[in-house]
Amino acid sequence: MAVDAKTVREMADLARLTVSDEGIDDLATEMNTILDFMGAIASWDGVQDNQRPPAVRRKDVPHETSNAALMEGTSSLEGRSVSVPPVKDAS
Amino acid sequence: MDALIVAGAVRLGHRKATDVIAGALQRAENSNSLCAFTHLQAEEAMARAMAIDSDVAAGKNPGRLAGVPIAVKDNIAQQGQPLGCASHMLDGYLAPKTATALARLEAQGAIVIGRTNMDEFGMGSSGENSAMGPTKNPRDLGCVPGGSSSGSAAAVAAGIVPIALGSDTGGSVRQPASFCGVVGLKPTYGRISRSGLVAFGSSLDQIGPITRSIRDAAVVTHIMAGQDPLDSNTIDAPMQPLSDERIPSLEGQTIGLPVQCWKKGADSGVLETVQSAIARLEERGATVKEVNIPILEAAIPCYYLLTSAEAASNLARFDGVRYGPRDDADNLLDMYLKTRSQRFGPEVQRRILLGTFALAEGYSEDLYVRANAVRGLMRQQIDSVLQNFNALAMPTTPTTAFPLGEKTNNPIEMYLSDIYTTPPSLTGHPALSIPVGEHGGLPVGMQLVGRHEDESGILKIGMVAHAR
Repeated sequence: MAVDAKTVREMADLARLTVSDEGIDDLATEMNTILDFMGAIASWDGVQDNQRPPAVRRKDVPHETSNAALMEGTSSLEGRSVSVPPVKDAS
Repeated sequence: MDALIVAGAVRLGHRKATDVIAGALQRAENSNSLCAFTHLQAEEAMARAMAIDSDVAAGKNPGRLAGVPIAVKDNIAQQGQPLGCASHMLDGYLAPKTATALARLEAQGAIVIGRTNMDEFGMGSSGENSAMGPTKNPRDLGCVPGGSSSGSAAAVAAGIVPIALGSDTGGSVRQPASFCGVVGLKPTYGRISRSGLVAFGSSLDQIGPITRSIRDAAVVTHIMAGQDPLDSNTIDAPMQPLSDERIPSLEGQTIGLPVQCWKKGADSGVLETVQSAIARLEERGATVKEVNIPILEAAIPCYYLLTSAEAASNLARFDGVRYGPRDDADNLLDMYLKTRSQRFGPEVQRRILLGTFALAEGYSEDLYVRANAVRGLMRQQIDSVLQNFNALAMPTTPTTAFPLGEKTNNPIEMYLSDIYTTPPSLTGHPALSIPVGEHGGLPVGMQLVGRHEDESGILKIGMVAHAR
């Protein structure tokens, strides 16, 4: 289960974290050490493989977010602000 | 002095709550070098003490913890007070409400004097991962106090307060209690409401007391326990009262010693000290037997995979939008990145990355899903063993408190400090750490793991083993 700099960068993007170019190789090495240790979990299993429910997940793809994209998705705009109806005390 | 003695004296009018609180605040000020507190609230505490003195003068019942000064870990909310989790991510953030557990203590007259230092967001085993600086061990200022409830354990061990609240996800109450020579209890998962506790690993987090005496731990837990509509995981099982005997008989009790916790890795001096405490249990009538629970050896990888995954999810909410300050940037994404990267400390970022990896497509089957399966099996095996044993006993930690800085560059060494405390966190069983002696001049703790909802059982056994 080797983690390279590219994988660390992808994980950081998903987690909304920045990793500097200078630090990324050290971080990849550290993650590999930790994951090798965690990999010991592979020698233990609580259930048979065929008893496990299949995991259905969306694709893990980091995506960009921008103010313009957010604004496009809103139903009500006032200038550069999103208008939100009152929730508390609304009747 | 124990909390129940203080409360008794205040209720009877033998001591003024204002004097008790002023004394605690003074001790906290004098102990600044410990870095145990992130915030002291002298004005509010003195105002509450005056109210309690007025109640006593008026003949009203001020509660079971009348005038008792307490300290609260910086991840447990108290309305209008800073809630920082020892992180720059929450600089200046004030809690909008009070945690249920704390509200129940305050309703019984307990008075918060301040908020305690901790490893950032609960992630650490030494108290060194705090944005406010490392807490020091009152027993040896060159050593760590343990973590993550570092300030709470140090405040009790230094005699500043008789009770402090911590939170325990994988040993964060018990491990610092052991390093500092005080009592720490992680109740059964669900015994105490998590409402108002900042989430780290939601399926493991529990609030627990750190105290000087076992009786104080029992009373505080009893007051905090019970169902809460704000936490759907709370259980509605009554907590049995603690035995009235000072040193109860253990006739008929069977205690198991998991062989996995008594072999490699642990300091021989720690093992010998805990063995002496086991002998005290036998002298009071307990039967002690070795027991084999092989899956305990999977606890550390299982724990770190699951909690990192939960932390990656729970800490996604800290993005500069809703909680705490934000760092300005040209667009929204850069604001998220800048705020999170600059305000989370290195260990928090490491665990978020690890958790994101454990949940990622292509890896989660081998990591997260498998760790969950192992967790289920671990609970089955421990439940099965506890059908024949009243409790399991082992050292709380493999070593005594280690020097500051010794393990900061070696995450795996640091993670192994939790090797004995993580199994009951994963399985939800109650677990207690009690000081049972010293090795090399530093305290040694023994951990007792009990059946689900049987805190009273391990507290009773703990009373016999407790060295004071």
